[in-house]
Amino acid sequence: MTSNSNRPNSPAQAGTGNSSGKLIKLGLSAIPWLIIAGLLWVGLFIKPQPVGTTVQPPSIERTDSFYGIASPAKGVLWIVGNKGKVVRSNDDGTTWVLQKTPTLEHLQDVASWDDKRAVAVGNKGVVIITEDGGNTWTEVTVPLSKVSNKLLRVKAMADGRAWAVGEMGALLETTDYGKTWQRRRDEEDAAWNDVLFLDADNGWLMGEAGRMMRTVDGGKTWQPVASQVKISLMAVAFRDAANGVAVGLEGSLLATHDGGKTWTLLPRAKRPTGGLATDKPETALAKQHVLEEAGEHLFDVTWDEAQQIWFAIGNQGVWVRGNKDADSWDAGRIDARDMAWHTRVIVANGHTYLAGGRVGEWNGQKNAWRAFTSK
Amino acid sequence: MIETGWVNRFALFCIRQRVWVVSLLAASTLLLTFFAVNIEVKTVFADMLPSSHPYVKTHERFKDTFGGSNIVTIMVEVEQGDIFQPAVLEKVRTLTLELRKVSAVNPFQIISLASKKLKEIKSSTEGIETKPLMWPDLPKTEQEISALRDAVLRNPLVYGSYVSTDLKAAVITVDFIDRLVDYGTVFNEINQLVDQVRDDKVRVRVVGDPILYGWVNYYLPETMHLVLATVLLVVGLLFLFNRTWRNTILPLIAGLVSAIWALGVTKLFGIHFEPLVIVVAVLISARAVSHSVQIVNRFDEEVEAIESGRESSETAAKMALSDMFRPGMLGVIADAGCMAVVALSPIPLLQKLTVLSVVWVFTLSVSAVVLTPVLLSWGRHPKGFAHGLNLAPLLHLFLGFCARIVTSRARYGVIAVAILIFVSSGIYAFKLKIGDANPGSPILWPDSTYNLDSGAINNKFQGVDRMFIVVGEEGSRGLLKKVEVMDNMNLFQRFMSSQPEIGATLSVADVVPAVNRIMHEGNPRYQELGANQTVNGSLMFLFESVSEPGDLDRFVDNQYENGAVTLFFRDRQGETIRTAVARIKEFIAKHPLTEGTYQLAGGVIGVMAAVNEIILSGQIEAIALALVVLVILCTMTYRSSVAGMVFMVPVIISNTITFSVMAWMGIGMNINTVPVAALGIGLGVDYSFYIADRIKEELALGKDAATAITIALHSTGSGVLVTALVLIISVMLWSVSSLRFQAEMAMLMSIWLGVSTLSALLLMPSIIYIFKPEFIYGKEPGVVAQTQQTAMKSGA
Repeated sequence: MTSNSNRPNSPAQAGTGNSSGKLIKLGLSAIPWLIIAGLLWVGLFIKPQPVGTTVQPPSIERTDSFYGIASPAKGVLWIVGNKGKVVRSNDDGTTWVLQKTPTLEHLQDVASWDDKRAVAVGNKGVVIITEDGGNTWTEVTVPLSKVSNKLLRVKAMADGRAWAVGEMGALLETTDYGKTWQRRRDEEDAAWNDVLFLDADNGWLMGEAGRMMRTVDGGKTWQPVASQVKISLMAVAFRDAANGVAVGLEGSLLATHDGGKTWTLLPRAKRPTGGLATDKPETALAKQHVLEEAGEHLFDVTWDEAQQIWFAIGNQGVWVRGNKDADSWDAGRIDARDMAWHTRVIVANGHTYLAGGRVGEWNGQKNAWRAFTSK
Repeated sequence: MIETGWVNRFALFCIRQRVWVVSLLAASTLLLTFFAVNIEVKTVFADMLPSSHPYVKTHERFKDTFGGSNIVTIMVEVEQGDIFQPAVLEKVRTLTLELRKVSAVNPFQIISLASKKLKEIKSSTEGIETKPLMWPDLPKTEQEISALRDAVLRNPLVYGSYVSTDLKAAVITVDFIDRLVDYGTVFNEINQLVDQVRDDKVRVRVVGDPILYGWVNYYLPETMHLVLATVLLVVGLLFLFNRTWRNTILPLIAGLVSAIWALGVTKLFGIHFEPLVIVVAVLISARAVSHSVQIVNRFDEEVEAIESGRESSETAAKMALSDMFRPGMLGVIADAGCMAVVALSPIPLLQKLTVLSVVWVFTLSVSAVVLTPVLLSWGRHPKGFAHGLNLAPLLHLFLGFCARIVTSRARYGVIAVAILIFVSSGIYAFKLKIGDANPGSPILWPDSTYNLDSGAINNKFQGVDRMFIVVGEEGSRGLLKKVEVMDNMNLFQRFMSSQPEIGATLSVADVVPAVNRIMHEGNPRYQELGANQTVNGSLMFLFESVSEPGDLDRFVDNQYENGAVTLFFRDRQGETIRTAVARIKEFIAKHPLTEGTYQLAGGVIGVMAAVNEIILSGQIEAIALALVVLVILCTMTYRSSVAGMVFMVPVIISNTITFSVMAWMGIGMNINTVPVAALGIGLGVDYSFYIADRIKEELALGKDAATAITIALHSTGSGVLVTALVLIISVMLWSVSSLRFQAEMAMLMSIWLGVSTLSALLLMPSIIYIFKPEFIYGKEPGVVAQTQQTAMKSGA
């Protein structure tokens, strides 16, 4: 028996039965195509998803360079560096907060009058100041050269005064906490690498090709001083009116004991060749006897009153240490394996802080380095 | 169903002309054997790349200068002290020099402490000068060694990249000329070289794609032994279950003939054989065996049926051939159709593999569906048994159990369990990892030499696997000198360096500041990009003038049109790559360049990113298309689209289960697993065809549903069960493979076979019994209902 033979018998019922049956059948036969269409649709749009969220760079990145450092108060640190970066710590470097600045130029140095007011200088003559501890930094205009304007150093003094030096013989002064700046020397095709004022009147300039100048009238007039060297001088420090040390490229050390009238080129500091940590202590001991000159560039020097030493830093993690009379020097490396350069050293509240390719605190007595990092 | 018409005539013809048929097949087999044995077994990396993907296009365009996908990294590691010992430095030098003799090496891309490429750049009174760190001579005195150590420490392009930060290891990287490289040769030559310098003081570790695939080749003999062992085990088990030599040898012959035909035809197409997909070959041979077993079982039944009369092998064979022709061919065509859709994938490896598989599966129509019954027709003692151990009662016990479940109310339970499994595995399947799921290569076991080496090197260094991003634009000469572009690259590198996925970054924006600093008396305050385009240009020119030709090419082309940012990865996990790519895109979107664009992505990680991006959607689309093929085939065969839906059920379930098992076992879906997963989509649906067809046949003979199902399960079902058991047990052998990939894929196949067996024995009959689809029952149920109505009417 077939359905064909049955249909004529009950046309009406077969008709209704068929129409609903057909509907169900149609629905059933559509299901596979719907499933397939669904899968194809999913196939077109499904994409495996990345995991996690974007990691925002930490305040102190692995690849950062910090050229300048200042410590206006105990435990307060400001570091400035590449891409207009200013980072501040209020707990002696344990935690760091990135401060918003109006520039992306590399900042080369920072100086502070107190823990609210500071100034940072950098590439293309950029100068930024703050009066509220760095919550807001504002850019100020300074007299610019048409050639190049990189500012390398800034030093703050009492009563809102500050001096900045840089390329094209730039020597800028402010007397109002950095709001306005005046150029104090004509342009020349040589850079000043450091400026230092011992008091309101007596000041020093250190520059390329062994150039050295001093003023005794608060910067109104400058007199060249013979440094005896042709190598670029990078920084100078005085422990009193008479005794000072200047450092420069290739490990150069100069000392004066007569307030800067005469400078003596000292022999380079020496360090044991086995300055690197090695797994074999006996060879390290053997190497202790061989000394080598620390010929790395020196970029900054400071007088450590508490320890009564001169302390200088520079390329490849080098440090150089001199006694009070600057007649006995030794040298070493911050870390045997970390050859990061340093451009600034400050001694504040008994601590020695270094800024550079790595930023941190150096304990010379324990030979211990505490790197500043941030999450 | 007793077939009539052309199928019957074809069956009759085959049996009558059996001598001719067999001679013809034997001759073709012999001919194809000649080609089959000459098939090339090798890995071609280019085959794994979806050539239409933009990343792969970038890779192909720039790989010769910015670094290809075949970079090999050799690490020399000391146990005591640091590498600055004459003996160790000597080894680094030996390796560096000898690597030039390895075949297909790009001699300009051998980089190490001892190569001419790594040098110290100094400014002196005469200007800028460069000096290779340790070339051509080794340092001899204590002082020279100390000077070398200092030179390494102060060179950011060397320290951390070519000498580890703890100074205990040095690496040598070497790139190959892609089109010439043969992984097997490179693997052997490099290993011989490494063995020369290895001693108890140093460990030498080697990683890189040529080495990885070299290991696969290295295990090829073991793999072949496994294939042989599998064949023997299959034979043994078939003999155990089937109890006759005939029923053992014939499926084996079917499998062999298919394999020979498939490999021969593939060779004729000029396609090589990828060693990693041997497991796929096993998979398809398994199909051949199943089909053949179905036929021999059916033959036995026919013999049983005509027992009382004169026993004739010929008649029985003819019956078996004509009866099994439809489900057999349907199974073959469905398998082939489901595999054929994989050819739509843009990955050449998959396309070639599809050709191989489709050909292979189609040969089953000859070897299993035709050859087996024809050979059976010569059978002498159709009723004898070769050994006394009869496992059939055990099997029938299980089959009877299945039948009872299906015909009792428990069948609703089967459906419920199936739905539960489908839903839960479907949800769990979302955990499937795309790309490699773990660090280290998933092809090898975690404790394999390669993976240990890879872990050790990635631990000591910033990552060996590279991706390069190209910054540039066609026809914009000097673009890479522009301040905006270089600043942007620098910013990009800083951003990427912060991401945990990235070990390190390198570009021309790292070189220029270094040169700039040297030009300024080594003052780090000048370690920065040039203030304008001219300065950048002259700094690059300066670098080029003091280096070997081609040194800058690693970073930027000679027109300064395109430059590379190379990112170093510590692992190749799918998630790592995907997240890194998302970050790259995020950066590009946030920091658009006014001129020039960022182009993703070359190097081994770049192309892996490309593969990972397409395989998931590719796999889902392949499943959908396979279902299309299945539905169309079923609709055509059974003239009902409901048939399509019914047969979709086992396919969909086996795929969700596969996905979730992969997710559970941490097997990522990557370029190696996707061929198996894709070709397995339609795997095993033929079991269901055989069962459903038998039920239909029995119903057509007028039996009631419960009887029909019971008969089908005890007859066809026993063939299904035997094949499944034999194959699952044999495939288990592969778990001892030294290649983790093969072990895991074999396990996946066992699961597939298990799932399809259970679908065929429990789920399909239950569905058929519950829903009584018309294509199985004919118009009967509807007719019965109407007849009843008519009867009631007429009664009234």
